[in-house]
Parts: sequence; C-alpha cells; structure tokens
Amino acid sequence: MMQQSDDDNNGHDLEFTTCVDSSVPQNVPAPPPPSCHPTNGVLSNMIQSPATTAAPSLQQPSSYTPSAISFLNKSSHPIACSFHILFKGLGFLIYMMGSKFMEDIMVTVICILLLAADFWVVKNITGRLLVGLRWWNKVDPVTGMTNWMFESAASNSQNSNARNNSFDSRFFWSVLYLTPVLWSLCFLSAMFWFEFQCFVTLSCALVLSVSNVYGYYKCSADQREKLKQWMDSGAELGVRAMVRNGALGWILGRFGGGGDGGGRMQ
Amino acid sequence: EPVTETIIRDVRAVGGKLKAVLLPLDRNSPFGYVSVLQEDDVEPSDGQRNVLNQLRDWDLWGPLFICLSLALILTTKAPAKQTSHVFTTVFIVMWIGSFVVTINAQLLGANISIFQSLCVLGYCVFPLTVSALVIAILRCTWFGTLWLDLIWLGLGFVWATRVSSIFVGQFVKRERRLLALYPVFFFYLLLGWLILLF
Repeated sequence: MMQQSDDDNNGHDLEFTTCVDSSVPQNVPAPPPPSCHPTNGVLSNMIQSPATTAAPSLQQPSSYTPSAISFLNKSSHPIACSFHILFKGLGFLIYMMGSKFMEDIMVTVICILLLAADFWVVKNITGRLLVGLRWWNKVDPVTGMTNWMFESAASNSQNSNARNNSFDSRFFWSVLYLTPVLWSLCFLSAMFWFEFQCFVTLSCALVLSVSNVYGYYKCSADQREKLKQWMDSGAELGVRAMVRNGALGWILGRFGGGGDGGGRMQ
Repeated sequence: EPVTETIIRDVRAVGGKLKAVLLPLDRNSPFGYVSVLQEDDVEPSDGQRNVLNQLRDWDLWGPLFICLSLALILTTKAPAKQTSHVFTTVFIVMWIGSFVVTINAQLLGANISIFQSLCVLGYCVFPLTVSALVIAILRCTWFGTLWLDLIWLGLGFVWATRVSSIFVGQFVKRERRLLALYPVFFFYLLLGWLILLF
C-alpha cells in the first residue's frame, strides 16, 4: 500500500507546469516563429502576439519614419533603444557627410569619440536593459590574470518580466549585427577607391563594433548553454523520477512475479 | 545599477590611474632603472607595488583619450595642410608601437596579458602628453626655444619610462631584460621625437 502512494507522489512529480493561462486571449492567430534567440519563452510570446504580428513589418528601415512613435512604444525601454541607435547613426552620418562642412581632422576625431561612446553605451547599458546580457573582465587580484565573464541575467523562463520584449531583443540583435556589416562595407569601398585617409576612423569603427558583437555572441552562447542546462537538469530530474518509478515497478513486479511464480511452482 | 553610477565608476577608475602614473613612485629610489637592470628579480617596493596594482585593473579608455589628446595637441601646432597626416601618424605610432612592444615582451618569454600591457604603456604616455602641452603653450611665449623643449621632453620621457620599465621588467628574466626594455625606451623616444618634430 505504501508503495502505491509513493507511486502517486512520483506521478505528481512528473507533471510539468505547462498550463494554459486563461487570462491570455485564446484563439489568437499564431505569431510568426520567433528568431533563434532562445530567451523568448512560449508564454511571453503568446502574451505579446499582437505586437509580434505587427513587428516583422517594421523591420524594414523604410517604414521607420511614419510609425516612429508607435515603433518605440512597443519597446519597454524606449530610451535605451534610441540611444542604441543614436551614437551609431550619428557616427555613420558624420563619417559620410562630415567632410562637406568641416575639416577631415575634426571628422575623424568626432567619429572616434562617437564610436567610443557607442561602444560604451552598447556594452554597459543597452545590453543590460534590452536583453539582460553582460560581458566584462575581472582581474584576479592574486595572480593578475584576466578573466572574461560573459553573463546572462539570472532568470527562469517563468519570469517573463525579465524576458523582455521580443521586440527589444530583436531590435538589439539586428542593429548589433548590422553595424559591423555596414562599417566593413565602408572599409571595402574605401580600399577599393584607394582613399586611405579615413583608415583610422574605419579601423576604429570595425574594431569596436566587432568586439561588441563578439562579446554579446559569447554571452548569448552562455545563455543558450544555461537554458540547455536547465532543460537538461529538468529532464534529468524527470528521467530520474521515471527510473525510480521504473525500478520500483520492476522490483515490485519481480517480487510479485517471483512470489506468484514461487507460489505456482509450489 | 543605474546609468550614472556606471559612468561615475568608469570615470573614477580612469582618473585614479592617471593620478597613479603621474605621482612619484617611491621616495627611496627615484629611478628604478638601476634595480631593474641589475637584479635578478625585480621586487617592486611598496609604493611601486601600489601603482602597479592600480594599473592592473586595465581599461583602454584612458589610453584612447590620451592618444586623442596627444594627437590633437600636435595637430594644433602643425601647418594646415598636414593636420590629418600628423593625427594619423601619432595615432598609428602609439597603438601599433604599444602592440609591438607587447608582442616583443611576450616573445621573450614573459606572460603578460596583452590588454594589461597596452593599458600600462598607454597610460605612461600621459606624462609625454603633459610635456607636449607645456611645449605647445610655451611656444607662443618667448620661452619656446629648442633647448627648453628638450628639457621638458626629457622630464616627460623619464617619468613615462619609470613605471612601464618596472612593469615590463617584472616579467622577464634578467638575461633578457635589456632586450625587453629596449623597445619600451625606443617607443617613448620615438613619441618624444614626434612631439619635438611636430
């Protein structure tokens, strides 16, 4: 009898919490498949599905201007989003147009300053606010060795508040990946037309943007690793429960069978 | 953490390091050169160790700003046609020079982390920047002769090589120490010559 109640408890252990939240409007048209970014939990996607169905159309830059305000309203950190783009856009603009109304040297200095500001903002602020990722380095005071830390915000997938807007993360990642692509296009065109005077600005831009991309890529890899680990440990718990259950069942069956067999034999 | 706190934290770190590079290392041995060249193991004394520990928390913002300011100071003195050349030269010399010195030290068997050494070498350019500023200002007045410029430069050079030579010398064995230190001196000499030239 006791083993039977144990069985019942184990059965409860196996129930995963995938209940449907009845506060969410049902029969909503299926949202587009999320990007490969793993932070979007299933629940948060369903909750924000009206936003996400509208979001793909806003990803083309041509439709930014008419719906700029509503565009920013979808984000939970509109200031961070605008800063994310501000320094990059300014830097790019000044690089392109600057030599028309100021000397080359001022263009270079201002570009370098803007690029440095952009690097700092993206690394320290927008990454934290928009996608909850952070990368930095820690110097070990004893040995003096540098350790690079790539961290993601400690949150489970039930904590959908920490999983920010899917809009936020899509915005962040697309702009982040777009920047080195743009700058390397500029670099290639400068090489092609043999204009070497912008070399300093372009190399700075490339170095800074590529290092940001690299840092956040490793952070997201760490995040994916964590998610996998969490899922694995959840699965492991489930498997262990099943094994326990199965072992008990097998043992029970063996004794029971043996008893029966023994009984029958006799 | 709030944004302003992040900004203030970074600014304080940079400021602290700038101050550390400028202040005298140690009362007892004003020039660390002798110990660096002769002893087997460079044991930094307390004052020097403080400075080195502070410089250990590396960040590259300081060197970036120092490089920009040095380049700007030199371009204000340069004739109008050549400003961008001057700027580019100074920028490239400083970064590539630090990189080459670091690689050289690493190839000689020191296991210095690249970023830390870039940081230290970059911060140590700060005294040279100060002397370049002094030269630029004094050139407007009647103090701006070549010999006085050389004095300022000499001071800046000694101040700059002090910390960096101890830092680099720490990691290299005695036989090869001169080989590792020679590029450091040469690097700062090159920067000083550029300052004089422009």
